[in-house]
Amino acid sequence: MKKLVIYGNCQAGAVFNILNCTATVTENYTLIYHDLWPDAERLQQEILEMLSADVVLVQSIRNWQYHPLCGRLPEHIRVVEFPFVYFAAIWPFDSFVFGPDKRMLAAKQSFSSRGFIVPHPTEDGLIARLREFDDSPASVYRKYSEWDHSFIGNIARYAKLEEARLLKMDRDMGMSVGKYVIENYRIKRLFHALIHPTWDLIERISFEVLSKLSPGVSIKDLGSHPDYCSTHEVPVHPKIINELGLSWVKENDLYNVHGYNIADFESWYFGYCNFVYNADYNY
Amino acid sequence: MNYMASVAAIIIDVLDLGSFNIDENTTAGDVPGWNSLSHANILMAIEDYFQIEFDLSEVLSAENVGELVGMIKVQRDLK
Repeated sequence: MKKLVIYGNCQAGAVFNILNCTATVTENYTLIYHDLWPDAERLQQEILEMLSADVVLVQSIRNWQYHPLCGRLPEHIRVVEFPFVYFAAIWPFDSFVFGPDKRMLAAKQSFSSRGFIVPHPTEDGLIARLREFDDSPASVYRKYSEWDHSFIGNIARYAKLEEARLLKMDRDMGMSVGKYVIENYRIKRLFHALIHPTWDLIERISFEVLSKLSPGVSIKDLGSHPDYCSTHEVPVHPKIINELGLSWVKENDLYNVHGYNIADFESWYFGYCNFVYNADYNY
Repeated sequence: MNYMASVAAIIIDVLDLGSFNIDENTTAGDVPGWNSLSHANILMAIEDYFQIEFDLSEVLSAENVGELVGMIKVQRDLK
């Protein structure tokens, strides 16, 4: 039995989960997943695992550049790069794109350090920016919901830039995941939040990876696995729904927050603010 | 117009860096928070400021800030 290591973030973890229940893969490989944040002891173990692997699947993510084995894997180990997929035009204010909400970050850290489950896993950089000028949640909400700010004036143009990035990603990796996102992001949900793809898209990424390992396979050969991120959804701003012509989401839709359909756009926003203002922490 | 200074100020503002030394040789990897996720925001802010639209087939190939500034000048000259 050959050894296959998958390195990357939670998307890579989802790909691992699918491949690990795909007979075409498990008949030939023992799979191991390496996430981005091992402690020192775990990292040493992972280095040994990687050096003894037959195949290493590396997600295209900047963290890899700082990995001790980046560029140093022996030639006999087959390295397959696969993409980190997102489409920022749908959630352009997520902290990964727009910058952090430090106050929310502090609230989350305080909350989770006391053993509580954080109700808002994501941070919104625009809420943080608007709060710098006016600390009233109602006032910030008005500016936020009515797009009364100078950040990102042309959403359609933003989407064009993102589409260009996805096509370049496809060219660089010899895959077609980006093309799939471009063809489908208006007509079906491909993400629950900025960097959390739906099952549909994770399956597509996994299929592209599987095709590199076993040319000629069908997407139907993939194993089945639960949609791991569906319990945390981030609302899409109504202006973005309209300007991008997203048909899979409506302005008044309810979103899953910890698995419950409890938040529309407005209540999600005020829930976010309540958490920032009321969590017990030192900022 | 000092293109380089304007682009540096835009990058610093978009990434909320406060202050940071950016010159023509600076690459995205040199700047905290400048990654593929934030790149579109920076390009959008530059387009808004200079009233241009980058050539989508070229803009993602810029290796450093100097090359980005060069593309801005080309687009400005085309107007």
